[in-house]
Amino acid sequence: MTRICPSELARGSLRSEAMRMILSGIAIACLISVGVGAVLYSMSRPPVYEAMPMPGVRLDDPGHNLVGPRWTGRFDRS
Amino acid sequence: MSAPIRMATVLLICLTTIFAVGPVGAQHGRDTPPAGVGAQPSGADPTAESVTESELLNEIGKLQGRVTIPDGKAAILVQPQGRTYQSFHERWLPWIGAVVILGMAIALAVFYLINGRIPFGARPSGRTIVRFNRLERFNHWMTAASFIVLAITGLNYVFGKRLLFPLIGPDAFATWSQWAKFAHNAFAFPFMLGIVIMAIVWLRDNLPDRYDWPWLRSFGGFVSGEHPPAGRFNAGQKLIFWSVVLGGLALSASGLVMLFPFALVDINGMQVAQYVHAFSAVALIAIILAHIYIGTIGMVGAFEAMESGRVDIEWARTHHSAWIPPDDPDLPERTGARVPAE
Amino acid sequence: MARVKFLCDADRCIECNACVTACKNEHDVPWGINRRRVITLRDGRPGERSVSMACMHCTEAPCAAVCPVDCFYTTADAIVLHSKELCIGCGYCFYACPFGAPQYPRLGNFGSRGKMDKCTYCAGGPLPASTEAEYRNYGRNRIAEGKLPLCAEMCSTKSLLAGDGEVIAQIYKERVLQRGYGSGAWGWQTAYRETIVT
Repeated sequence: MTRICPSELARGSLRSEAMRMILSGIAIACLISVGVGAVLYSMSRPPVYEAMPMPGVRLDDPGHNLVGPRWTGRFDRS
Repeated sequence: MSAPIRMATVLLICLTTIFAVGPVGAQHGRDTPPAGVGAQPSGADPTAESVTESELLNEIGKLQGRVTIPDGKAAILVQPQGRTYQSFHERWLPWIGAVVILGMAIALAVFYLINGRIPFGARPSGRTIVRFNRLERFNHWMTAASFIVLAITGLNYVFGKRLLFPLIGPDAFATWSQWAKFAHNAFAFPFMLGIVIMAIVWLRDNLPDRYDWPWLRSFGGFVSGEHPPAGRFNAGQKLIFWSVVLGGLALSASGLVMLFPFALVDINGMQVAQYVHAFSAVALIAIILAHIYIGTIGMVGAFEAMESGRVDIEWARTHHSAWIPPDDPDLPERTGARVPAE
Repeated sequence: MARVKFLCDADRCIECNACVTACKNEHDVPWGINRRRVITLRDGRPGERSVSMACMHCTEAPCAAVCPVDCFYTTADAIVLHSKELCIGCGYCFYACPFGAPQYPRLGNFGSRGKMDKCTYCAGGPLPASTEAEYRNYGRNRIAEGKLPLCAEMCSTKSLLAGDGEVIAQIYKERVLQRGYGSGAWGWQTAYRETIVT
């Protein structure tokens, strides 16, 4: 016989213990993805002008090296 | 040295000097123009030992030189393999992918229409036993959900611009593709974790045993109508397991290479990673389609196994007659094998 | 309408990098983005050759073919351009390009490379010609002003030629005939599927 815990009957939010596994599986997958995504995309990714300098080039003030004062490498419609 | 010999030596030196300096002095002032100016082109190429593009390409297949740029990739002058990559990505892959995946879907539909669901096989007894525990079920669903997301976002790279782009236009499609790309990179990690857990937890039950070859030979009893004996997992399920684990491994390795571009390999290596990833993905999507079919509508009683973890004891006796489930308080005695052990 | 091309005469290029400097200056190209670069083969040995390489604006451009979001387009002059608004920074165009023309502003993991940038043949991008926004995203648009790319204009030895493909092919042919040698138009077979027969 399948066992039914009294506490399961009390919890009305989920249909059955079965669904709990499926939903928690999906939920944990999403959580891990978001977590890893946050870590991955927050890792310091220097722009190439910072990552690959050369001895002959002075990059103290990158403001002069960029296209316009607010260049970020992303598309800029304004 | 005696005086006459000294004199002769001095004279000799003077004469030698005069004769040597003379011609040199004369050359110094010479003003003949260099050969070739104004004359017919001699065809003598002053850089004759140098290379032509076709020679180098035939010899080494990829041209690299020296640049003063710290980015090493800039030193590549020509890599003709780019055209090969284009041909693979735009001509072969869409066709292979469409044929394999659609072919599998159609084959499953045909099979269902002709054969219907694989029936229970016995009268349900109402008593159930545990087939998959909590960890196995949770892990399966985490991996499955990740795989669905990965498959859809992955197929978007190949088929998105062919199928979805004409429907929603460039701006919406680009936004969707951007988020699809992030999702693909992110959901790869729970997928990889799930594959590792699956490999650990289910490896032992998926090793080949003596029931496998007879099971395969009779196509799982499809031809004869009799259910061949099987352990906890029959040969078909073992094929699924090994496809997922090995295919998942190939996808993970190539995917990680692509996730950190040029960290481990050069441009040709990146292209190879794409080829591996694409082939494994297409194959695995088709296989998983079959798995989803059999696990949902293809076989009565199959979905419950992974949904609740419990199956009817008669179902187990029919489909996995040689399976001895682990100790279950509801089932003190063993199910017993239907066929005598060979 | 002409089909424009680049031709770098490897027998004349002296690796002065004037083309590189002109391009970087005209379009305010940030450090690390190498729209045009000079590559030296067999450096220091007999037969040394230098070639100035940027986007060749290929026939049936591989970059355009493999882009998953179809952000490339070809103008009537056969200049291959792309939209940074649609670009998702996946990097496929770099894998497909035989010449390594696509450049990305950020190092790092897939998807965070930023918008692809490359030589535009001094033709700007899909934004309205000669506007501030177009300059900031794609660089100067000289073609709209009726001028040719600045790299070829600034070449100190006139080894880098840009313009109507037939015209520059003819110029190169005459050169080869006059001086008696020529190592060929580098990249033409791969980019335009043709060679210049001399």
